[in-house]
Amino acid sequence: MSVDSAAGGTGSYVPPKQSRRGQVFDSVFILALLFAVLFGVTYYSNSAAAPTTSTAKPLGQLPITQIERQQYQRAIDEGLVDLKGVNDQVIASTPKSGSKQYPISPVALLVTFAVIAGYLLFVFLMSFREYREVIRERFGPPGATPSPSTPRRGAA
Amino acid sequence: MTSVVPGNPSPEEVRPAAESHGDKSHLALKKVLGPAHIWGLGVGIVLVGEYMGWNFSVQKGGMFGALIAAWVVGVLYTCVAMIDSEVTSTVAAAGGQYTQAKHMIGPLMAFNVGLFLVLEYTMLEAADANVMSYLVSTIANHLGYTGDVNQYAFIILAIMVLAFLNYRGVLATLSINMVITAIAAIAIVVLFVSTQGWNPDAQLHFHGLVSSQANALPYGWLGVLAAFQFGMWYYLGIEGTCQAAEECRSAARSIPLGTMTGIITLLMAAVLTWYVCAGTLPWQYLGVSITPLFDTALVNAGGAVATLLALGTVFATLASANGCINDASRAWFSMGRDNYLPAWFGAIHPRYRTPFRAILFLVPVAIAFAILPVLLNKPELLATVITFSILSALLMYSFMVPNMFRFRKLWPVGVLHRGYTHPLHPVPAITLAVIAALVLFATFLGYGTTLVTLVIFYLLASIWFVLFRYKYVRRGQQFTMPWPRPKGY
Repeated sequence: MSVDSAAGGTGSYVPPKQSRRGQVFDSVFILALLFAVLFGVTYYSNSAAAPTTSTAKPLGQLPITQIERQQYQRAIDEGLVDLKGVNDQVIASTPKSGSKQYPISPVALLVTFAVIAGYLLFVFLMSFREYREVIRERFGPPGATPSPSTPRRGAA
Repeated sequence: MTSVVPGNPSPEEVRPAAESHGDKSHLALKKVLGPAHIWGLGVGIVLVGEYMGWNFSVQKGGMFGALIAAWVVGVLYTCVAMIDSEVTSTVAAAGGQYTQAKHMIGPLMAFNVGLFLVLEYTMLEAADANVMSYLVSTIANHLGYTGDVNQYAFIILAIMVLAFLNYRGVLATLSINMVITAIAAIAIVVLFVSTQGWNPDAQLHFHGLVSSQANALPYGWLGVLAAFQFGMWYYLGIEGTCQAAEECRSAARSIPLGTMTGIITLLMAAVLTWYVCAGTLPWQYLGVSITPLFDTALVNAGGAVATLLALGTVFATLASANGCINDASRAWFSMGRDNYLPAWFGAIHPRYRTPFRAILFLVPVAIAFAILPVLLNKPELLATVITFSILSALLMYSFMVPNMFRFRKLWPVGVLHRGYTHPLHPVPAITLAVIAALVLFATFLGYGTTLVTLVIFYLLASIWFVLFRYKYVRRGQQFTMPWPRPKGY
């Protein structure tokens, strides 16, 4: 997958020159992959609609504190919310019994953990391997001083 | 806190990487920024989270859940700021954490970190533009306009104007950011003063919160944990200060000063925001509000203060989008400069000295992210975009932990010139790891599918990089800092 060649006897890796078409393809590819994932997850995970009510109870009958009633009344007066909206919000925020509020599926948790661990393992192991190659080319073999011909991009 | 090693050049002495390239290699990014610009960049990206977004943590965990999230996630970001200040004051190059990863971990991790940065900021920018168009509609309605406001026009206009500003030069871009961010931050203080926040019995009411535990912590401690995900909004993006390192007059001074004052500003803003909102609005409403600070001002102060908060909301949104364009383009540009992405993106404008191709390329991408939820009438697409942004940031924080350990191990204190050396190592790194894991778990509770899908995206992108992209990268030249050989290699 890579082209190794000796450059001027230094042993530096000389990468191939990428064509214009290749550059465009690479730019489009990474974006296409991103959009595919973005749309995939959006259409796959149907968000549950918040519960609503068809009949709006007055503030006095809602299971909220007296201060919250006053605060809601001011919000209604300012046009931030209407009574129907208040009813919907109070219903939606009522805690569900037991573990239904935040259900945890052990299988889903395990799969998530495995995917993240697999990803990190791949990235770190590959990176460390590539890093050794970078250091060897930049500084020479272990114990050697950097070759004057080694490009020191960014060095003063 | 500062260590200088004779014989090792400071970051300011390091010529930018672009200088050694081909025909146009003499071009480099302009070094014109100071600590105030860095503060404006970091706080500017984040402050919109105080104006909107943080309050969804109330929906997840109640009022106290949101407050605990503000504190715990605040500790996470303090650790991020400390680590970034040390590493970036030494690695003074555009790309920030991407460049750090390149020097500390390796190329594939650097590629991933570059993508984390680009996605985090481009998606945040898109969300900002989308919310901006909603705000314009809302404000127009408040002013008595009864017709429909074309959201597309405002989304496109906001992104194009800000991208043009970024294209023309970094000094003007971040100077404007600094000013509008300062106005937005002062607006929060004005709201606190106008509600007589120092006297909790005057206009604010906390009885609803303290009357019973069921009211303050409606979903228990698991709800508190779930709130951590949206607690990120209080501070998300402060790490973006690192992207400007190559454009600072003195990165070793500006980055630590700008970043640390930035996180202090945000910690204060987070607590003030929670305090005035919690004392004004019922938690059931606050958990779903789009503009909680503006609503609080409307209910509790009205008049000029409400107008100021409306202005603050718009300014915070613009500052965030502006900073995001700046940061995403620097990360994309840096990857192009190293051939991690097509080299075409690694160009600097001959006159304005900005990474103009990276800026222009990301404009249609951001517009697409912002417009598609409206165009397809799929508001949940915007939620996915925002979650992608948060998760990308979270993955990056996870990377910062081994990055910090390796930085101290490969080049121990005293070996390199450090503009700032953070205290108590490795406590901040370990704390960051623990809290980042907790936030990942919180994200699993609310957006488990999105989390797995995003990780699979990064895995696929990594495989693509290894198989098809890395062959275009010069090996030794990636290491651009004039440092000694890393210890152990």
